[in-house]
Amino acid sequence: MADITMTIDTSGMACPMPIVKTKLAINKLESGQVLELISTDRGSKTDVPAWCESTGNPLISEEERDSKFVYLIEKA
Amino acid sequence: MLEVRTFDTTSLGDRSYLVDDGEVAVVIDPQRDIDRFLAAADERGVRITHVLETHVHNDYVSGGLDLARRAGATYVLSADEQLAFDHHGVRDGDVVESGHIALRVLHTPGHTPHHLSYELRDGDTTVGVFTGGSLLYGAVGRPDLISPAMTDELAHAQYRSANRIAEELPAQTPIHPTHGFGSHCASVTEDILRDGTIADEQQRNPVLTLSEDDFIEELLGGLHPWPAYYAHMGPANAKGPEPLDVSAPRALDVDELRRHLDDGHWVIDLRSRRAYAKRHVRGTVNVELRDDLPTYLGWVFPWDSPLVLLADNAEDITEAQVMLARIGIDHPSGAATGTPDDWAGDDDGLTAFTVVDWNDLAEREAAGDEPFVLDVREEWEFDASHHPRAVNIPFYELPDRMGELPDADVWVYCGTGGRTAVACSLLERAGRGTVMIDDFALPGDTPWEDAAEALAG
Repeated sequence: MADITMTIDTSGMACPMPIVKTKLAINKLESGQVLELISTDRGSKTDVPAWCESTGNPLISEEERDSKFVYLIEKA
Repeated sequence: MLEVRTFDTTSLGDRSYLVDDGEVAVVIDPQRDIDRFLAAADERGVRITHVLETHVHNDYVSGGLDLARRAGATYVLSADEQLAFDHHGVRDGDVVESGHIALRVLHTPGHTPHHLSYELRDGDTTVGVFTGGSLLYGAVGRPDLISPAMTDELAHAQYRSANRIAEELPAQTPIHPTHGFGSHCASVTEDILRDGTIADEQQRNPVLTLSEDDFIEELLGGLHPWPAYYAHMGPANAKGPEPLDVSAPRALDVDELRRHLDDGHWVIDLRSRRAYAKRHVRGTVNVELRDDLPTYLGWVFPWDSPLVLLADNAEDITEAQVMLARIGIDHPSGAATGTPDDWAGDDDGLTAFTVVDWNDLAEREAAGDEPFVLDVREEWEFDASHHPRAVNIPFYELPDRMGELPDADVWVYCGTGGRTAVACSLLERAGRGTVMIDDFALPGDTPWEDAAEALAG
């Protein structure tokens, strides 16, 4: 299990704010640190992996927990 | 000891609340899918005696009337509202009591003229305040939903209401707002705020930290457009909404679906934009089943058109029905599940989008080609940064502004891709050629420049 440096919850935010918040959070991290991103929106299952691929920040894991989607993203 | 339970409706950015003392309960601002409130009351072993509204809502169809009838509870609203059903009207200073729960009514106009807040008391102690669309976490409920002529007056009223709440109640009082978790009913907030007391707001909320004039200027200057469906919510709530009915819509066969498309009805494909782009039935509109669904569909849907839903499976259809019923889009004319091949019957009705990214556009431009680029985001996003040749038509204005587009293929982009898929399908439905830029364009970013630079090496 990776050490989580920061956690953000974007539940309820309208597009594009969940990805905007993700970007701002990643910008605050050092290379190798890990962001935990929580969302209740199933749309995040499309957006988060696509954003990670587009920006080159590795998506370490994605899982569904208590009807929430939880992502671990490592800063490149 | 009173318990306050919070119910999030993330697709609308709203909250509802249930308060109980172990025996009786009151519910504040329930959404239309009321089973979750009844289940919570059952679970706690309490009886719902009162259902209260802070205001006649503009962003959703209320479940209050239905819940009050189902629970045999008293339905409490402002005495000054004109409503088509029986209710218990209250005014500033009234106290609604049930068991150990006492709610003191505060008239807090601003979001709406007759808006109420409810101070929650346990005996003589203030233990919370339900602020609806008045004082929110780091923001206030927007004052421009009633009419342009009233916006300025309501904005000033909102300032006074928020400050009155902060002055009259103890600093440690927890605030329980209805709006502000992504809702378009809230003025803009920069941070993700999910709790707070009056003392917290005195530190961070412009309505409490700025002068009245400075606050009004900031508030009115920062408001974004609100979804078109809002116009239908106030009248629906004043009339008295019907109980929620999400029984399965009529299952359509290929011929019936074809007739709906031929008649120009709205056939919504709820699958992900990636799946839709690869293969879909021509003439359908793609609005992904996700939290943005009610906002996006409610913003472009012609309210009098029959509606048909398409999805992978029946569970997705039901989920979409609940999300749409919350904004009063009820009773779809039909539905079908499976794959586009099941729905089209043969290959003639099937099509796909050409999908590209910023690198592909940069390559075309480097080769001297300049395709027409359409930015379907909101104006504030476009103003923050946009492709240098892009024309901005927010996706919800597209149905009325197709005439402004050239005959050539339209290359479409948005923030993350969802609105692009809505726009591309609307364009295709209107017989236009489209290219889907399935890539990111976050406010302030310039990915088209990065792509051009990478190409230039």
